[in-house]
Amino acid sequence: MPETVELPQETPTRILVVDDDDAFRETVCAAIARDDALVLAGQVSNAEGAREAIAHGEFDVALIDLGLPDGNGIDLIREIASTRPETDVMVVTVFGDEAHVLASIEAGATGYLLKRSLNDTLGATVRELRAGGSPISPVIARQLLHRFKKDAPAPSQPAVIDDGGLSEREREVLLFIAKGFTVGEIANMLHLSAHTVATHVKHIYRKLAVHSRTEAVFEAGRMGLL
Amino acid sequence: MTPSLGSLAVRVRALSMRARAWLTVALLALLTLGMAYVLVAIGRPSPSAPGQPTDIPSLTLSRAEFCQRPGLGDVPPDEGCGWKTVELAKLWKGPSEHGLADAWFRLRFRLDSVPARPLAMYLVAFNRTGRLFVNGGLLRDLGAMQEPLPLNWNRSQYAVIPPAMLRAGDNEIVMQERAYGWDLGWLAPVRLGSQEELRPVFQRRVFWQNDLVRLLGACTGAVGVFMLGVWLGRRRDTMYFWFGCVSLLWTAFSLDYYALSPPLPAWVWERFIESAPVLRGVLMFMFVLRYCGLHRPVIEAVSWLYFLVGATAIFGGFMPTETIDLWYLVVLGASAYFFFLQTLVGLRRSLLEGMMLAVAGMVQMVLSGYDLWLYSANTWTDRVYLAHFSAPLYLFVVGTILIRRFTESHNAYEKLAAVLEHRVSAKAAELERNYEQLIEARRNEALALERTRIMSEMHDGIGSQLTMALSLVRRMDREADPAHNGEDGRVATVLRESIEDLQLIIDSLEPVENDLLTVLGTLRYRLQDRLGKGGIELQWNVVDLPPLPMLTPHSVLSILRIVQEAFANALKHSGATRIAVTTGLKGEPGIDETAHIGIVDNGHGIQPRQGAGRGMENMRRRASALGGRLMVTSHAGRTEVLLEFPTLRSPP
Repeated sequence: MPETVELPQETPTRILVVDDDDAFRETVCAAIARDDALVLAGQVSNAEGAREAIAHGEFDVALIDLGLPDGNGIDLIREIASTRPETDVMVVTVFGDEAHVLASIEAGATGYLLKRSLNDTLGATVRELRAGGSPISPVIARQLLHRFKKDAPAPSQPAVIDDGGLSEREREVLLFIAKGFTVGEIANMLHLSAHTVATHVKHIYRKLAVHSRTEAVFEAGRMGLL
Repeated sequence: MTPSLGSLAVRVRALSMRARAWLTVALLALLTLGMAYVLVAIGRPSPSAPGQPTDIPSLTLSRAEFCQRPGLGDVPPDEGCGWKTVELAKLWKGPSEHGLADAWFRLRFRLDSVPARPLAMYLVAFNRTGRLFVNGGLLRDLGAMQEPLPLNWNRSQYAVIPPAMLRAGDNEIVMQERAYGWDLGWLAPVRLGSQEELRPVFQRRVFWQNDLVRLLGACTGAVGVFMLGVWLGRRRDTMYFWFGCVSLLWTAFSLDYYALSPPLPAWVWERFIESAPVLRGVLMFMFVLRYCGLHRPVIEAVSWLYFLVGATAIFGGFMPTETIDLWYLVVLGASAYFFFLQTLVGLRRSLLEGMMLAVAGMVQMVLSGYDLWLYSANTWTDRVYLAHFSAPLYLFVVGTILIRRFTESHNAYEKLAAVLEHRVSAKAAELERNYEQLIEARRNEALALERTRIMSEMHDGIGSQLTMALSLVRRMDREADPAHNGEDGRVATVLRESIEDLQLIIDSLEPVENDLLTVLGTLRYRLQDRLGKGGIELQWNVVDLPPLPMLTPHSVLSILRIVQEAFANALKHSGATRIAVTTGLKGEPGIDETAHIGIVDNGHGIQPRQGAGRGMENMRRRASALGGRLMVTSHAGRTEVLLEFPTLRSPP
């Protein structure tokens, strides 16, 4: 069941769509138009247009396809993450597979969307995204645990929070996600509110992005995506 | 070993090192006391045995008439020889350095009557051979009278004079002595008495002075040969070589005490015996320096020079007799220093070793000093030379220490070898493990690369195209029917299911790290939206499972397909409002352990329809491909699909 986190919706969320697939852009625009809480800020079909929009456009959420004809979506995500930290980036992917999603998160994305189910879930996913971050899949959670474990400073400082390591709570949340539990179930088990758990998830996203940015060579290169 | 001795040995072994050392010191002190007693006892003339015949006097003849005449002869000289009275012991020398020389002794004694039984005669010491006449008649030869003369210097003689040769009143014993011209001849006081009195005295002296020395000489020879054998195997441990030399030299030296005909010409042998104490000392110094781990080339050179100069003088015949004692005395003094040095080093190694060396060294020093005094003072009693008892003691102590050290180092080596072998095998196992891990990592890396490539292809190629096709079809459906309710048409459904199947394949390739819950969680994650839309509550009643190495992409895909089919049935056909997922383990790892996944819904049960039937058949096929089985129980309100498959885990 989807986790619905209610936010006060005073102003509609402005969305920038970056995709070279015309039919897809059309579908997205139609979905935005159907949702009162969303408003289209702009749509572009290539990286050049996207850079223009990033520099001058007004938007809250960017939907970005990774495979653009004149550039890589990862670069755009990184650009947005470094110049517009208040903007959320959502990657559009066909399968939501670990390689693509992890690379996007490391670049600074805080959520992702499956292309085929976009029609039904765009509104809910954007709300989740604004509230904290898209739900992390079990495989991604497992990979995140892995990644942080590798560079964890020392096991004697379990509760330490810095840009490199996860807090004990965040680790716990990730472990539950890896075992297939939802944010709601985790909140129940840990006696927290769903909002708190979602915030933990957002922190995890942020930490991975910060953590990755400090690394010289981007992991996406390793994944063969660049 | 008797039981009591055995238990004593056990008790001694149980004592602490310190206690054992003190015990040894006490034992050695007792031994020293015992030797001191022997020293006194041997030196003391034996008391007359009770019950000896009263008609036989007990006499010690310490005065004799002595004469020398030119040439050799077999008949006692007459009065014209120039007899003169001398005190025994009498030392004499032939007129020429060459050839042999004779000297004659005449001993007189009175008998009140001719005794009924023979009279015993005990010659404590004479040199070098001789012949006895009693009252003008030949009694016997004391050894061969031709060259080479027998080595009799330390051999006492016992002769029996039959009553027929005796007479009442004055009796006369004439002793002819023959010696080398370069040597000294001598005769010590002669004892007469009953056989009962003198035979034990004689036998005791032979035992102490000849037989025991022969025995000890054989022992030191064995030790020496053993040490040289050890040295041959370990040429760098020259300590063993020098010790072997000392031991063998001692054996050679001890021949002088019991061999009648030594292996060298008499003159050379005498010179060898004269130089041997110094040679033994120098060899000893060599050994002690090595035992102490000291490198003192100057001391060694001086020692050897000291020996060579002295030996040359002796063999050259220009060493004055008085100087020989001085020559010995210096070595004796140096020996004291080396014994002290050795004791210090031994103490550092262990108290026991040090104490043993100290006592052995002290005993040898004392007894050597005693012998030196005995030799130079020419006290011709029946006192026994004693250094040859202390030297074997010292040699045995050191030999024991060396053998113990040899076996200890051998044991230590074996232990070390065992440890090394263990380490090597551990290292080999570790290397093998690392190698396997490396291979595994390489394989995983290759798999990951291949996966990434396929994923990329699917994502950008067929996946994108299918997705594009799906959105085109959906748009066309909407345009064709403006009142479209959002349900996918037939083409859209086929396209969506194709994408979903591709999704499943890709998910099966994801790194789940052998965690069944991650596999199931991925499926849940994918189905979340649809379940939510269908208003179905999902209960995640799972228990955590250990990593299952059998979860390869292939088996993961089978599990995903089975579980997805079960979900699809519950979603599509059952009208369920609640689905529960359970997991669990059964059985023993390595024997019959199985994992199970249950999907239970509260729908109205499975209807025997064609689609569902075929789907069920596919599920069963996939379950048996996993080596497991599928159990379906269905009635209104509860349908359970239970997948069970072996974990193939090895026992912990």
